[in-house]
Amino acid sequence: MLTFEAPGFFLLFIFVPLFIYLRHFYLNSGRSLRISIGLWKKGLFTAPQKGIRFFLSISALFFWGGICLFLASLAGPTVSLHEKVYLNRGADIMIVLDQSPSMAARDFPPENRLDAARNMIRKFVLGRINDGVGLVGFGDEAVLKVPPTTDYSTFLERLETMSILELGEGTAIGMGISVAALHLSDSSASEKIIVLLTDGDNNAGEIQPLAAASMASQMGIRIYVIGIGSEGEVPFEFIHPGTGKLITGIQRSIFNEPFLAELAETGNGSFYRAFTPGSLEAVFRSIDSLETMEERVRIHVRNIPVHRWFILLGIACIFLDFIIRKIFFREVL
Amino acid sequence: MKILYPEVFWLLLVLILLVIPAVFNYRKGRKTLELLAGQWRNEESSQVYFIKSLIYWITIFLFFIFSIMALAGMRWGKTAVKDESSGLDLVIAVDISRSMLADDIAPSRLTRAAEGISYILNSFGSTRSALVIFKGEGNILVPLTEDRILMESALRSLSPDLYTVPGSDIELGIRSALDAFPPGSPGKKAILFVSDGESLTGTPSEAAREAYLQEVPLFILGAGTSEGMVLRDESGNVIKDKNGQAVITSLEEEVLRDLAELSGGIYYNLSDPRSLGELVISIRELTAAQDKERIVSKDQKQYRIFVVLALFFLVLNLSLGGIRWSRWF
Repeated sequence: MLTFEAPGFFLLFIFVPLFIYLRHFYLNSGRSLRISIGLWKKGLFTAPQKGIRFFLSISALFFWGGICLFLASLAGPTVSLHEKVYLNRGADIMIVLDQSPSMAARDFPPENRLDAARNMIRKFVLGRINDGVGLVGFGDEAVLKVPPTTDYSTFLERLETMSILELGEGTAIGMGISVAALHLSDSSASEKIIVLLTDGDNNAGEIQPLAAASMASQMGIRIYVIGIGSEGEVPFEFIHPGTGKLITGIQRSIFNEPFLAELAETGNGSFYRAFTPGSLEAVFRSIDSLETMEERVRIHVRNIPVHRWFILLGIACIFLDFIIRKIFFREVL
Repeated sequence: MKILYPEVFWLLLVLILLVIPAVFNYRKGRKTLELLAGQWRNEESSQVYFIKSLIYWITIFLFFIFSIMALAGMRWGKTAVKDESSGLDLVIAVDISRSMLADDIAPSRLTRAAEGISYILNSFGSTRSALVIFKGEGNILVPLTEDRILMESALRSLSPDLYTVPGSDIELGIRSALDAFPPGSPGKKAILFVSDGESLTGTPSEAAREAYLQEVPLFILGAGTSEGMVLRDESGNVIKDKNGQAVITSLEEEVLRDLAELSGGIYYNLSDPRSLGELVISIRELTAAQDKERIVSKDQKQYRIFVVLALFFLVLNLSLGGIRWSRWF
């Protein structure tokens, strides 16, 4: 939106008509030579100057346009952008995502579990506005992918790069939770949350999930657990990151529901089952609504001065008029 | 005084070129006048014509000169503005080009840089910080976060091998650092920039100007010595140029100092033992007494005076030309 810092300068526009009159319509002007040319006994004749007059009036339009731009630049034109600034600290949310091969099971047609989870995480993150979001991936071991940050574009970029089997074949839930808790330890947020997404039982890692969960809850972190996928036989398909080969097959899902529920209870959170894409979305919605805090917002107005463009355009217009008259039409007075 | 767009002064060269058509125009005008006014009053009319032409060309030149000066984005003096920020968002940008491996400050520029940054971060409590690395391109290694553990391990891992693009581009480094500030944060923004000042591509001053316009000061730490050091490749051999001369890499202090000043920040030399402490103090000053309502001073942009002068000369040009000086014109 274009605004003017000092609109008082627009009063100068009242002088413009005066100068237009002086320059173009004042007959006794010193810019003109009056000469009578006539043929003996044939009277005066006038030169047909329609073409020149036309070009000169276009040129004059540029000139006065340039003057107006100069006058407007004095008024301090600025483009103001409104930006929301969040005054209070949001929550810090760590998403812990299973990358074990079973996440390749295609029970969220047309996607596999990992892609379905990824899509939901993306939606979830885009719905956050002031909360730090981090990402931990785990297989045999757990790795921090993104620290809790409000830089969502970096988060989403790195989320895209997560692939199955990247961190081995196991499911080290305990490691995932402890890495997430470790990286939340510096956080000054009043609400610290871990969202664990997994499709199976803990079968790897040096840290017991329950121990990790109780440690996290002592640090004031809440843990939500989401169990993804259905039970029974499910087809799977993924590309092995090491060899690049496509691997397909049927897997039997083992789901340790009581264990995951206990984990959530230890972490003061809750446990959700997500069998279908719709239910996964519903789970994220409910976490969303649980973790929405009152937000205090200030609108920050960023003013970008644009007077330089006015002056630049003004110079260009006046220079054009100058060149047309002085060089093209060779005006000498 | 600060000049944000010194490149517009090149336009003055175009003006100098205009002297040629001005002279031609004057001569042509005199000839025409002689034809129209006749020989017998030539002397009188050509005198008036000379003075009128002189006034015309001088005023029009002054008009163009002052309007170009209005474009230069000059700033002097200070104006008070209300500062409503709270907290500090610090983006750290580290040059990881090969020249940062030079050991003119032991053990190497990069290691010393990492130690320095670590010291600075530890002097602040809970500050959100990000780590950006650059050489031929710039990347966010750690997005803006309070996670100190990750920051420390990222600082330990700094090396030119973090990615394979060759080169050294300070402009890209500054721009990537500016991009690392997510929107919506109430924090005061600042960039801590560590480099040896060698830039093979890009125009760093443009990026520093952008930082200034976004009100993000660049606090620059120069790594290295101005005497410089030979560059070595992976196997430890001295890198030589086409003529067999060893390539010397040295700290470009002047470049870095100019960039810091342009952006409204301060330059420090990493090897000076006092500089880290002073740097911490000057970054702290940015956020001093933030809990209270406070007023900070900002450079005042100065262009109106030049626009007014330019318009004054244009008006002079119009009115003096319009006055009838003799019976003729």
